Amino acid sequence: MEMINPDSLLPVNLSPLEPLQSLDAGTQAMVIEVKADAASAKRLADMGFVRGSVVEMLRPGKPCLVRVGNSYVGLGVGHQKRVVVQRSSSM
Amino acid sequence: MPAVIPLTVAPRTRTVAVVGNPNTGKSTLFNALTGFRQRVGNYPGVTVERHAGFLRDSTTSVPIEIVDLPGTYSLSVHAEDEAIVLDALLGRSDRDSDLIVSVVDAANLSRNLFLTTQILELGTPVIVALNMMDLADRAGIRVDCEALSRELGVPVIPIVANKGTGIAELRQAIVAGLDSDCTHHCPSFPECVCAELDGLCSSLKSAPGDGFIPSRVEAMQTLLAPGGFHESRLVKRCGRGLAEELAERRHRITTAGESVVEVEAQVRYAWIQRVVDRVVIHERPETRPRTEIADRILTHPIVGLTVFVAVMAVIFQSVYALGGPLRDFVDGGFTAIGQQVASWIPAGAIRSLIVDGVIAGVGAVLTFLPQILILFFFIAILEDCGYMARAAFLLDRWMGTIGLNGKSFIPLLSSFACAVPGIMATRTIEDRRDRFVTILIAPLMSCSARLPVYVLLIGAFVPATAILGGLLSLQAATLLAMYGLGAIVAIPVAIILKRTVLKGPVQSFLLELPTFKWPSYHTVFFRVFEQGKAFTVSAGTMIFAVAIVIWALGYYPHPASIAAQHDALRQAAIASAVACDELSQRLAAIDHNEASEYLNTSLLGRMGRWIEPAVKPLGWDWRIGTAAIASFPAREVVVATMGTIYGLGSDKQAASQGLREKMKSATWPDGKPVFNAAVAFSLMVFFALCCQCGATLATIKRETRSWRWPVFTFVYMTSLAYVGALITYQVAIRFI
Ligand SMILES: Nc1nc2c(ncn2[C@@H]2O[C@H](COP(=O)(O)OP(=O)(O)O)[C@@H](O)[C@H]2O)c(=O)[nH]1
Ligand SMILES: [Mg+2]
Repeated sequence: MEMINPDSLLPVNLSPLEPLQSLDAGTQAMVIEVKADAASAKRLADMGFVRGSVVEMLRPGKPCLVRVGNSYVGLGVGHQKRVVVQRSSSM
Repeated sequence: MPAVIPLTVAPRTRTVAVVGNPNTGKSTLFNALTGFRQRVGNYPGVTVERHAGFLRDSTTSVPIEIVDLPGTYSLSVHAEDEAIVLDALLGRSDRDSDLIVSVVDAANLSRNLFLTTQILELGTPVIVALNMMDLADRAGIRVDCEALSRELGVPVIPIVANKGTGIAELRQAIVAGLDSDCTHHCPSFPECVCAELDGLCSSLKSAPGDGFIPSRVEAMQTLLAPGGFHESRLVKRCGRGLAEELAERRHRITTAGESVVEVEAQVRYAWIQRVVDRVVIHERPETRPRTEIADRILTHPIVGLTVFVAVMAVIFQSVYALGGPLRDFVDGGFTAIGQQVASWIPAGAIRSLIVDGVIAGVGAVLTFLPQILILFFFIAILEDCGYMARAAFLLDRWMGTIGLNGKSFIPLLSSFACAVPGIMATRTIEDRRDRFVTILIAPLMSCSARLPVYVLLIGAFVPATAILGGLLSLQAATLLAMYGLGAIVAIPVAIILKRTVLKGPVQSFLLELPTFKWPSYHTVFFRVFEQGKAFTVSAGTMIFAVAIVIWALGYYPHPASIAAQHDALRQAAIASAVACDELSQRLAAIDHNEASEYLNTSLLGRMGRWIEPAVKPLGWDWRIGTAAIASFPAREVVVATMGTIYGLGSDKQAASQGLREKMKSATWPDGKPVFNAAVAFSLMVFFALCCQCGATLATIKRETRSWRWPVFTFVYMTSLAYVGALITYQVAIRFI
């Protein structure tokens, strides 16, 4: 899985934090944190949504389809809202 | 004197568990290792927790048992099916595993290695089966297996499970690995986590209890998943004190700057990332995988949904168009057998039992086997190629309107083949209430056992006119409507359940969409074969038994006075010396009358007339009513029962007709035909909505661990069925 060390990014590359929900089709971003209840957060983390992993929005919507590493995951709004990501211009 | 030593000591069976993420090819590998022979299938009525078989062509004399487990992403348990995996690995449910084969998808290495790193810590020897090497190759992903093996510290065997590549090597590795020491490497956790984990382990060891000592892996999952499955299980065992201790330990981890829920995934994925960087070479710049391109169409909210509807229409049209001629063929076969057998055995109770009871009954059901197999075939293909997850994705939005999410859609779609595996498939649903609602509405989906009833009645009473410009026949459209009925009725039922007894918010959808694969002929063929066999076996036993009981009730007491009376009538007819044609007509009428007299005076006839007032408002005569009641244990019995009843009630000429003709010629005592379109529809609606399946009720009992839910299901569905049939008949009789 593509992973980036979030602490190694230069400040110039940083864009604001936003929920996964607000990504457009085709944009890539990096997961910063998962702000869900313990069970959902653990579930998402196990499936690859951890700090530093790269996600790509393939089809925004309810549910949305994202690529995380080499797998494709469908997420309902409840989960989309809780995954906090950051787009990076260097990606 | 020395004790006598037995010459042969039965070698202890060794157990090998096959574990991995969903859709990594575990079942395919399991079948390759065991040679298809041993799979305990999803047979209705059989407990299927455990798919086990023996290793084929093993080089040792020790029997090696292979166990196929449900797919899981992690040992932290979120749903019922994952609890099964965990208990099997830890030896809680049955024996301990002596070896674990971790199936890893080479094309998706990092995510798959997550579970592997957890498994490495169990302390059981592990072999990594690196599957889907062909797909990885095609994607330009080259994995250095030797390097991976060095990094993980366990054997790594590259395989292509569906082609059998590498299976021999894996088999050898399994035999060799059983007694090896475990020499794995695994990620190390931050100091604060390790300290708390050690502390927790030692306090769990000294905790009061029944000698149950959780492993370190369980302790980690307990500590790092607040409110999770492990915590509640351990707190139940060790008492409230543990909950407080956990809270304190978690607090200390947080104070040390780590996130309790995320630390495990972070540490493991970071470790995996370093391993993957060393062992994986991307040979080509990445191109868009084909799956992604297919998903542009197939997950599109409008185009994708259109494709979905088209796929469903093709399936139903094929069931009808391809299955029809095959059915007539089998039907003709059974009629011929019946006539042949009838000519060998002298008239009497035995001949009636064999021809009217057994051949007519079992034959009536088996004629539908081709259509059932076609349906199973399509469902197996949809499941195997990965389309089911797309359907769940597409329908999530619609499922939301009834309070469920898209994940419930997969069990419901499988229930169209059979509710039993469908209900078991609900184990992947995390939320308990959602899972129960799905279980309760699954039997409303039109399973394949209802197909015989629909096909029989549609074939006899719905014209084959082409509609929609020849795209669909009216018969296929009616079939589609019957299939849709249960699903439509399920909507308000689910809504009501979600608002009352199983009240709860809509759970957000979360599902991996596996990459599309060509369905494997083996898997599809095997699934169809397995389910076809299950259907045939049930037709051969359950239906056979019911057919005999119904025949006996319909044949006896068979009073001699009726025979005497009709013989006298025959004599009189012959003596009256009328023309030849007229004579044979009169004799036929007498024969027919005799047969119905026998049936009317039989036990079945008397019971039937007793229930007739209850079924008359539905447009049914007592024969239909009896058949419907006899089919409560298993609905496919109804066709057999009608075959038997109408076989008994018909004279010798009519014996050569199929059930369809016999039904068409059945009359009320006043001579009006029993069957017309309104009756046919009322009967079909009844069967569409009624819960006539002992196996389903037993499965609901097992899965919900309570009697309440099967009873509830039975009552609500039966009431719905009666009311539905009543409305259908009363409306239809006025308009058709
Ligand atoms: N191309 C390819 N497909 C495979 C391989 N192994 C399994 N499959 C396919 O992957 C799909 C899922 O396999 P299955 O055994 O049901 O996975 P399970 O969910 O882990 O039990 C099926 O369509 C298999 O035919 C493989 O090595 N290569
Ligand atoms: Mg499987």
